[in-house]
Amino acid sequence: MQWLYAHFPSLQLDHFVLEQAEDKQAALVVFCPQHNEILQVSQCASTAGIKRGMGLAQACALLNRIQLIPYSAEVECQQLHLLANQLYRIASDIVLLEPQGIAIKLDPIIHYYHSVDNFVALFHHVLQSTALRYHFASGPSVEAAQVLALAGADTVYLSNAQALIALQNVSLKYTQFTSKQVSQFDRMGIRTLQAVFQIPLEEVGKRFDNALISYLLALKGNKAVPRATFHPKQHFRYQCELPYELEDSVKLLRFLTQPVEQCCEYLVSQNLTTDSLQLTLHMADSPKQHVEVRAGAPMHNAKDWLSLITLKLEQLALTSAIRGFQLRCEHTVVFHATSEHLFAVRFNQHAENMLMGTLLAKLGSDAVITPRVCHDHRQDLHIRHGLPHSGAACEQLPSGQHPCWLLIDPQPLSTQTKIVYGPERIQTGWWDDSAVKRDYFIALSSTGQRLWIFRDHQSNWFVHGYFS
Amino acid sequence: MFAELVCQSNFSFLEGASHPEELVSTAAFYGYEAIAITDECSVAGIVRAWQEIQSNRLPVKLITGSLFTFSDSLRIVLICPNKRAYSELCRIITNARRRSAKGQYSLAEWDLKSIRDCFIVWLPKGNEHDEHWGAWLAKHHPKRCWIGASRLLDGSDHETFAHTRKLHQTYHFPVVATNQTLCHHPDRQPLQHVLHAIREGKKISELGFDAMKNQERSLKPLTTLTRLYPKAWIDESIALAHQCEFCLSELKYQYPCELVPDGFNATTYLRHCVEQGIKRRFPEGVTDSIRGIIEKELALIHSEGYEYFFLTIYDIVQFAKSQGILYQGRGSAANSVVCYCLEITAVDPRQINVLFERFISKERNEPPDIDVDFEHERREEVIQYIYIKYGRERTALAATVITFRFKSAFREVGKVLGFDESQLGYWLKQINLRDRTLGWKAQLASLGLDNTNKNLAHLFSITETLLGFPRHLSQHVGGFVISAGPLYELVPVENAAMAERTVIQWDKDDLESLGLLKVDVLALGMLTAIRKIFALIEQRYDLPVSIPFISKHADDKQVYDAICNADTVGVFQIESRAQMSMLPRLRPRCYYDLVVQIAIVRPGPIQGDMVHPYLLRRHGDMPVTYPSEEVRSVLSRTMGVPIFQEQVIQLAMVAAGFTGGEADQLRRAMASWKKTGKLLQFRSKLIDGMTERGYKSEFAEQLFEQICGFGEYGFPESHSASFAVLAYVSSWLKYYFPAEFYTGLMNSWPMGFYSPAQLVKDAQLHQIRVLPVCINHSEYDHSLTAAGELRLGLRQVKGLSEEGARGLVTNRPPSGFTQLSSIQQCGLSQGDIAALASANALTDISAHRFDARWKVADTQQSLPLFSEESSDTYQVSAPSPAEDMIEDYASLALSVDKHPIALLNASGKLKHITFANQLAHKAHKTPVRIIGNVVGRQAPGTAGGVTFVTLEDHTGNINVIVWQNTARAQKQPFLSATILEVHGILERSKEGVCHVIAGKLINRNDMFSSLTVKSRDFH
Repeated sequence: MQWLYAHFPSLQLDHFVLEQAEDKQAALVVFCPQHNEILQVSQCASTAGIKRGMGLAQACALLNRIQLIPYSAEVECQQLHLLANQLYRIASDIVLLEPQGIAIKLDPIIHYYHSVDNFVALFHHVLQSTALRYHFASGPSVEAAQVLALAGADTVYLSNAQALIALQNVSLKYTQFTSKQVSQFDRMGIRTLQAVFQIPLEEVGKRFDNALISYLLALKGNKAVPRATFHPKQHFRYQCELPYELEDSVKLLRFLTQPVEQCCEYLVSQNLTTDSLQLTLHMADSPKQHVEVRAGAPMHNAKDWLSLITLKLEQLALTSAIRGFQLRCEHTVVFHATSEHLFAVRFNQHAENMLMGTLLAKLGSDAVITPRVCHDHRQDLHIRHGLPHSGAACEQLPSGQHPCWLLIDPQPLSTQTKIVYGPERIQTGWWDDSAVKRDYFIALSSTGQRLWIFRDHQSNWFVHGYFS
Repeated sequence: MFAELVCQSNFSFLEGASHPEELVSTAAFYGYEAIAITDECSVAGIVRAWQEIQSNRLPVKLITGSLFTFSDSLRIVLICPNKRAYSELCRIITNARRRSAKGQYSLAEWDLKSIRDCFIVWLPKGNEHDEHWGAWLAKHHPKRCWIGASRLLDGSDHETFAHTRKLHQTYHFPVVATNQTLCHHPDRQPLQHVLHAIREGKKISELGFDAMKNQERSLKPLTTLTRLYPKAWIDESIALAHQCEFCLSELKYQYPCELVPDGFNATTYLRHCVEQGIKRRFPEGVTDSIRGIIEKELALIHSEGYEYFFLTIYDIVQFAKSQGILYQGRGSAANSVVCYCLEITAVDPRQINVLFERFISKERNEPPDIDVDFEHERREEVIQYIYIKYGRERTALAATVITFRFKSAFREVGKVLGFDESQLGYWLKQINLRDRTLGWKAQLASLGLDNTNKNLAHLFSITETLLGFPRHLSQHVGGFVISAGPLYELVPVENAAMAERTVIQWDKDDLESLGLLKVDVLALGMLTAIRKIFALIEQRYDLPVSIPFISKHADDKQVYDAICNADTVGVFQIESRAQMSMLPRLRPRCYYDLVVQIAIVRPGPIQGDMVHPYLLRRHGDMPVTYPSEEVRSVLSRTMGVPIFQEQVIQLAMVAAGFTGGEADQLRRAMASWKKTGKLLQFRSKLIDGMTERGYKSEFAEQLFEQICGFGEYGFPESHSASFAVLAYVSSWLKYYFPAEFYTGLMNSWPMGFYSPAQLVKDAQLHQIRVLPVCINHSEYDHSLTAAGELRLGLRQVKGLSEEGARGLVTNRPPSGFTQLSSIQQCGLSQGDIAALASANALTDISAHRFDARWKVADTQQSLPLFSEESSDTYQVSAPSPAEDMIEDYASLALSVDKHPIALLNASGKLKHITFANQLAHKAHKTPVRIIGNVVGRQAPGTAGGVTFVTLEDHTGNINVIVWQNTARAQKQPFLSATILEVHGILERSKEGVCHVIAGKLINRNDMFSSLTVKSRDFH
C-alpha cells in the first residue's frame, strides 16, 4: 500500500488571509487563549521573530502590531472538509485526519492515472489553486506518510522502502506518540525513529502500552489501522467569523461570494440542486438572526443565487452588527435536466414561503412584521420589529402601567391633558446610541382618552402610547 | 434636614458605587443631619467614613448599621443606637458570615429574634410576604421597628406609598424616608451598572430589567427630598437618627489580661520583664543615657496604656525563643530600647540613633508598630500557639481589602461592555504601567484606537473610576488582633478562604484609625536559613553561634571588605544586582552604613535622584550643606540627603508646614498611593509650602518625586536597621562559614534572589566542592561531608516526592543500594525512581543515566516474579557531555560539573570571546565579545527604559546594560535568547565595577537548542 499525505500547518490563518484579511501582508497570528500559545504565524509575523509555541506577551513584545485570530478547530475542520470535497473529484479513497491532514490511498488511483506522478501533478494543481500552505509526503501507511509530511519531507518516494529510510531520521516530535512518551524516550536518549526501530518490540512492550506497538507497526506498514474514508456530506455548511463587525448587511456580500460559489461547486460535483439557502447571522449584541433565501425553482448557479441573496440582504434589517455567519444548504434534490416544472414548483409545498419571500422582497421587511418583546427598560425597545416566524420567545413585560397601543415613533403632545399617574423615570442606555432620560406619565385627554406621555430631558412632551 | 438611614458603600462589593468617604462628604455637603453606612452584612466601610468625618470635621452624624436579606422575602437594616447594639450587630454579622463560605452569609431566624438593642428599618417587598413579616416584626420587635419607604420613580411609587401606609396603619410602625442609596452622585449610575454586570457575569446590555432603571438611588439635595417624601417621614428619619448615640470612638480595646501574673499589674510586670532583659542585654550594666531612654519609654508606654501590647508580643517571642524558632522584630519597634530589652528586636540602641518618638508619639496619636519576622518554615507553629493560647473567639487575622487594580479593572469593565477578551488581553499586553512618560490611555491611543468610539470612551472613564474600588476581603499576611473578650463584640469576624482561618472585617488602616492594635506575625526565609546554618556550624565545630554572638563582633573588617567587593550572593537584602553594583561605590564600613545601603537602593531615593548626591558627599566630593537649620535637624545623619521614609515625612512638616495630622495622612497616602492615587492631592501643598518658606522649587519637586517613589516600597530607617542586622549576620556567616552558609541557604530554598544553580556556581567560585546527588550518599537535605564538601540532597531532584526521598534515606542499607529492585522495595513510585535515574543519582547501580532510566521503565521488573535483574536484549547508548548537562538542568535545575559555555568553548565554537573572569584584566572602554546564559533580565521602573541583563558563563556573572533603543532594534535576540552573545564596550567605574554596554546582540540558542536554563525575568 502507498499513501499520500498532505498536512496544512496554517489552515485557519491561510484561510483567513485568503478570504478576510484587508491587508494580505499583515502580521497575523492564530492564537489559543486557553494555553496562551501562538499556533500559526503569517510571513510578516514570522519575519519579526514570532514563532509557534510562543506566549502572547513575548509575541507582543517582538511586534506590537500583530493581529490576533482566536484558534478554532471548527473552522479548520470545515476547511478540511471543503478541501476533501475538491480532492474527491480526483481521488476516491480519502481519509481525513482532523483538523489539518488529508491522506489519499494511491494504489487504486494508479490504475486510472497510469502513474503516481500524473496523479501527484493533479493533486498539486488542486491544492495550489487553493493557495493554502501545505507539506506532503508518501509512505507505506497513513501514519508513515503523516510523520514524513509533518517533518516537511515534501517528497513522493519512488518506493515504500525509500520512505522507510527517510523515516529513520525523523524526530519523535513529529510522530503521534503522546507528549509523555516522547519525553520518556527523550530522557533515555532516544530521539529519532531509527533509535526506536532498533529496540526489539519485546523490550518496547515491557515499557510502553500496546497502542504504541501498534503505532510502530503501522509506521513500518506492517499493520493497517482501520480508518473511515471520506464521503461528501449530503449538505453544505460554511462558517465564517468576520474580521470586523459589519453594520451594513449588503457589505456581507463580499464575504458570501466565495462560499456561495463553493456551495454551487459542491452541488454540481454531487449532481444536486437546491431551492433554498439558509443564512445564520451571528450578531454582536443580539441573538442570532436567521435568513432563508428561497428560489422559485431548484437551481445551482452561483450567479443566480448571489443576485437573490443581494436582494435579500438589501431588505434585511439588522438587530445589531454582524460578527459572523453560517451558510447552509440543507435541502437538496438530485438534479435532473428535465425537472423544469416551473408552475408545479411554484405552487408546491414551498409556495407559502415563496409568497412570503416575494412579499418581503417587494414591500420591504418593515411592511411584514410581528412584534416581539425585548428585555430592556427603554420603552422604544420593548417592542422590536421582527420577521414573521422569527421564533423569538415571548417574554414577560416588566411590572408597571404600560399601554397596549405603543407608537413606533413618539409623537409631540399637542392636546391638553391632565396627568393622573406618574412619573416613571427611565434614565438608562448610556452604553449604546439609544440613551434616554424620560419621565413617563399617564394622562387623560379632554376626550377622556388615557395617553401614555413622557417628558424628555429638554422638557418637551410626547405621546408614546394609548391605553385601551 | 434629613437622615439617610439606608446607604450602601462600595464595601457592599459589586453593588455600591461610591466610596464611604464620598458618601459622608456628599451628605455633609447637602446638609444632612446624619447618614448611616449600611453595607450588606458588613461594617467594613464604616471606619473609612468615620475617618473622613474626623479628618475633615464634617458636620454630619455617622450611624453604624448593616443591611440583611433573609430568605428573599425580607430585607431589613439594623441600626446601632448604642454600643450594646453595635456589639449585637457584630455578633449577628459574625454568626451569619461564619455559617457560610468566604464572601457569603446566611442569616437565621434566630438571629432576628435575638435582637435586643438594634433598631430595625424594614424595607417591605411590596408582595404577599409583607403581611407575614409585618406580623412577625410586630410580635417580636414592636418597639424597635420602622418602615423604610422609598420613592424611586420606578412606575410603582403610588402603589408603594399606599402599601407603606397600609402597613403603617396595620402594625403601627413609624415610617422613615430613605433613598436606599447606592451612589453619592447620579453620575455613578454607569459604574453601578458595570458593577452589577460584573457581579452577574453578564454584559451590561444583557442585564435588561434587572439593571437600575434610573439614577434615583443616589444622595439628593434636601429640596428634592422634600418634594419626594411626606414631611412626617423625613422628620421621622431625623428622630431616629437622634436616638443613635453610638460613635466608633467609643470602641476600646481590652487586651488579654492573663499575661500578667498574680502580684503584678501590667505596668509593674512590664517593668519587671524589662529589668530582666536589661540584665541579659547589658550584662555590664546600662549607661545613664540608656537608662534615661528606658525610663522615658516606660513612662510613655504607661501614659498611652500600651503595656499589654508589649507584653503580648513579649509572650509570643518568648514562645518562639523557647521553641528555638528564630525571630526578629522590625518596623518602628527597632527604635525602642524597651523592645531590645524584651528581646523583641536585635538592634542594639548603641548602634543606631534611637528615637523613641519615632516609635510612639503622643502627637501622632497612632499605635506603635511592631512587626516580628519568624522563620518562614516555622511561622505556623507561632500562629497555632496564638490560637491555642487565646482561643479562636478572641483571635482573628486583620483583613486586607483587595481592590481593583488597573489590569483587573480594565479587563472586567471591558468584558461587561462587550469587548472581546482576547482583544482586551492584547491591549493589556501593550501597556507598560512602568512607563512614566506615557499614561496607559496614551499608550492605547498609540495603537491606533478610534478615539471617537463611545464604547472605548466608556471603557476608559469607568476603568479610571473603578480603580481602588474594593473587590473583596482577604486575609492579612500575619496581622493578628487579640482581645480580652470575644472579638466578635468588637468587630465582625468572617471566614477566610484558608481553612481554619478567620478574618475581621477591617484592614490595618481601619485598625490604626480606631487606635486598635494588631500583632504582626510575619515570615522570613532568611531566618530559616540562618537557623539551619547555625545548626550546621554547631554540628561540625561544636560552636554555638547566635545573632547576638555575631552582633557582638560587629564591624569585622574582613566581612566588610567582602561586602565592599560585592561578594554578597545569598546575603540578605544586599544581594540584588542593584545592591551589588552600589556596594563598591558606597563602601559600607560599619553597621549604620549598611542601614543606609539597604535603604538607598530603593525606588524612593533613586527616583528622587538622591543616590549620587549621597555618594559624592560621602566621599567628600561635594560639601555637605543644608538649606536650613530645620532641614539639618532632619537630615544630618544622612549627610543632608533624605534617604529614609520618615525623613521625607519630617521634611514635609518642618519645610512645608504640614501639621501632624496632615503628615499622617501623607504617610498613609504614600503607603497606598498605587491603589488609590491620593498622594497627588498633596503635591501642590508640599511644593507651595516649601517655596513659601524659601526652599528652591527644584528641591521641592525632587522631594515630591521621592515621596512618590517611596510609595509602597519605601523603607523607614527602623526597617532598614533591623534588616541590616540580618544582612551583617548573613555576610559574616558567608565569610567565616561559607560551606555551611550555602548548605543552609539551599536547604531553605525557595527564598532570596538566587536559584540553587547560581548558589552552587557561587559556592564553587569560593572553592567549595559540590558533589552530585547520589542514592547512597545524599540525605534529603543538602549536607556537608567531613571534608567540608557540599553534597547535594535528594530535595533537589525534580519530580521526586518528599515522601519517596525520605523513605529512600530511611530504608537505605548500611552498605548502600546495589540493585534497582532493592530501591523499588523501599516503596518509591515508578515516577520517583525515574526522577532519580534522570538526576544521575543511580550511578552506583547503572552504567549511566540513560541506562538507569531504561531499566527503570521496565515495568515487568517491579513485579515480584521478575524481581531479579533481568537480562536486557538492548543497550541504550551513553549520553554525550552536552546531553548529560541538559539532563542535569532538566532534572536538578543545575549542573555541578558542566556549564554550557564551557562545553561550547571546549568544542571550539567560541572565538574571540572574553569570559567573566577575564574582564577585570581588560581596559576601560575596550570593545569586548561576551557570551553566557541569560539568568536575569531586569527593567526597573526607575531605570528609564534600560534593561539590566545578567549573563552567566563558566567563570562568573557579567552585567550587561541594554539601552532601550538597542533592545528595540534587536528585539528578537534580546527577548528570545537563553544563550546570548553580546558585542559591546566594557565600562569600569573607578571603584572597579564592570559593565558591558551592549551593542550587537546575537541569539546563540541554536548552539544548545534544548538547554533548559530558566531565566528570571522581571517585565
